[in-house]
Amino acid sequence: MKSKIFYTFLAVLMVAALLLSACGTTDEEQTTEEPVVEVSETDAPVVEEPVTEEPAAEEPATEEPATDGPCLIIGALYGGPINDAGYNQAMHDSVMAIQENIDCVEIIEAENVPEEAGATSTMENMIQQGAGMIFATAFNHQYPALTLSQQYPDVIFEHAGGWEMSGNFANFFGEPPDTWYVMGVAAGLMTETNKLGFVAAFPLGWTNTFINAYTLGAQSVNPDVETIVAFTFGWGDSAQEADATNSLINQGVDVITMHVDSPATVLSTAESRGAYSIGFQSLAAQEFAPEYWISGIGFTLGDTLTWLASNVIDDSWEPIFLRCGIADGCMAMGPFGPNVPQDVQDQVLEALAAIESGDTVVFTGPVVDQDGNIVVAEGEVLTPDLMSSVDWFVQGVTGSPQ
Amino acid sequence: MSQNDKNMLKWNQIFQKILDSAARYLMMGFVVLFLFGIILLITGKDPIQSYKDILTSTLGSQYGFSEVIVTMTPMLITALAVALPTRIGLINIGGEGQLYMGALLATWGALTFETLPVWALVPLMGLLGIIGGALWAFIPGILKSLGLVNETIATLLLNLVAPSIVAYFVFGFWHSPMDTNKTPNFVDAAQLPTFFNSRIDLSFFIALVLLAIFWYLMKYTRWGLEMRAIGGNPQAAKRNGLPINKYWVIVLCIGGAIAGLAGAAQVSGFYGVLLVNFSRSLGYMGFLISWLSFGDPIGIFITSFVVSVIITGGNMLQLTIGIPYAVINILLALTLFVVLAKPTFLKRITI
Repeated sequence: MKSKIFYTFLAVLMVAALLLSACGTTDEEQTTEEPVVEVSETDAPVVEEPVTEEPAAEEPATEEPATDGPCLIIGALYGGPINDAGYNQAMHDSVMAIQENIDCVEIIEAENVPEEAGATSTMENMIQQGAGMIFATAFNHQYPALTLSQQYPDVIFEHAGGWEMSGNFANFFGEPPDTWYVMGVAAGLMTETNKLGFVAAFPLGWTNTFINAYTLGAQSVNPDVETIVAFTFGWGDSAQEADATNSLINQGVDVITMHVDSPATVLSTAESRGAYSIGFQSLAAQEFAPEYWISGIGFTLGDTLTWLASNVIDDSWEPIFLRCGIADGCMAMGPFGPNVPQDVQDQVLEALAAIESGDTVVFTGPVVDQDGNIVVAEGEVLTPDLMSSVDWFVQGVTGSPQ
Repeated sequence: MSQNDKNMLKWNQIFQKILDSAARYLMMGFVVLFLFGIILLITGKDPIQSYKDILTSTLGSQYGFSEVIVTMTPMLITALAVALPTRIGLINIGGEGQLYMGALLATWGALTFETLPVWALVPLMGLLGIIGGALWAFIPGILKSLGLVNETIATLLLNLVAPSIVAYFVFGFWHSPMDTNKTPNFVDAAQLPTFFNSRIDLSFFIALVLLAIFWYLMKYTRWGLEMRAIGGNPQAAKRNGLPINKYWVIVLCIGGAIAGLAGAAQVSGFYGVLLVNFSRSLGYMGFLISWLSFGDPIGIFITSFVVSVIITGGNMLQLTIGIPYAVINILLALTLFVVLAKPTFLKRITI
């Protein structure tokens, strides 16, 4: 029967798609020992092969009524794969740093967690496994986490980059805008066509702020510079990212950077076309652009998260709206690439020092948007709470901020 | 043969059938578990412990069980949206697109009529979802009845269009700079009521009622008979005076309406917000489930239950034994693969 063949063919196609999507295997992740399953306590410890990254953290399985059990179980959830050389990897590395610094914590992780209500059951399960602290790192995990925090007042919730606050719900994040300014300086000095390309996921307030800071930085050393923005409308859409990168380069752009989850696609595409690139999210990204890498910035929140976790352990945790910049060690700048001349490096480091000392404040008025309107008045400064809802681009940016 | 003997024979047949299908499902389950066990061993995990975790986390706790129900609800409805058109020989791969369009219209209702009370807003959203899905299915339906385009191709291609339309509306009209890829959260009145202190919402019961109606319609009504006649041999049905073009359009629209209802239920019940990519292939899942169960209502129920156990339990494995997410996808794919590789296992189960 014809329709049957159709069905079979389609079904096989779909299975193949499922299998293919499963192909990017993750490297072995050392997470937890014995699950604390309520019903049955197994006697034998689970097979736990010696792990690649941190043998020190090996602890005896907690099968007996735990006298020396973990002092805190931390649940961490990520919106994408933790080996993406980007945002999720940076968050994963930061969370794992807690384990390195505090021996007695136990960390349970989940990657590729769906957004919004799709994340609820993962967090619920973590709490049922005994998690006393939850790190929700994807942007759209904020509201499900907030809802759960009302159900579980004893569990501490920390969201990456959000704004909601409650008695047991707070947030943390790095402060990328300053570092974007520094990256802009580097890009402005390196470009020859005076066209910078920015591949961005969504016209999100923060993304617009990054693009603005980057452009202002570039203009500070090269007034003729123009930033062209291309949106992909997906945090992890590799095909779109490659397309966007190529079309930017076709328009004459010679320095590419991005704000998507994983910089891998954009960087390697730019590399193959011989365009300079600047990394963001995780410093692990440099491997994708060995030759044309200028520099990059990444989140290094390990110490901050460790501090938060230790506060939870000794009961001194308070909900704070935590933002920390490059001067606090929450962001880090990557090494320069092989093609970056010494004088450029010096100027970039100078700009960085000026940012760190507070001599340069990125969004000091007057700031003028694309249409010539003054968006930050003379003598005023754009404050971080406004940066999350920026819906304008500064002059010199090509693209629509909405 | 006496009446009694006939009855005996009938019961014997039914018993035999149940035994057969039980054996088939057990056999397939065993093959899957064996294959996946090998993969787990290769990645260095204990398969027995993994399976125990899957079962305890889904069937072993009240919360886990409720999550299985929550996961299977949209699949039940989207599977039905495929099963119904299958009965008259139409292949509706468009569940995904119809789901999106239903969600889109329901979202419009939720954002526009925020002030309505819950008893008015929720039914309105359901109705809008039905309209959205039906309209989206009307396109391939009318093309098919005019003899222009095969409905398989048309529904499949429209799947690619619908999410883009949703994205256009979200980014164009319902977007604030504080949000990435979603609309503002809905008001409470736009959310389906939930039951049992869990996330099981009204749509689960709607799905069950729809399944029952579908079963009744097919078995006991003239429409069901006519639809099966058209599905069996359209030419003969036409010669017998059945308006097959009309049937094609209407049935495809009803299928689309059902999928659209699933979309409305997802945004209203599960999410309470419209995410640009909220579906994660629910429409395609429904298609697979409908196919695996040959459109049989009980089969649809069982298959979506098994798939949901694998999905929810599989996600749990990330937390308990720390296997990567990708491996869980393999488990699901293996299940489907084994079922496909051995079609003789699944002889047609008639209702």
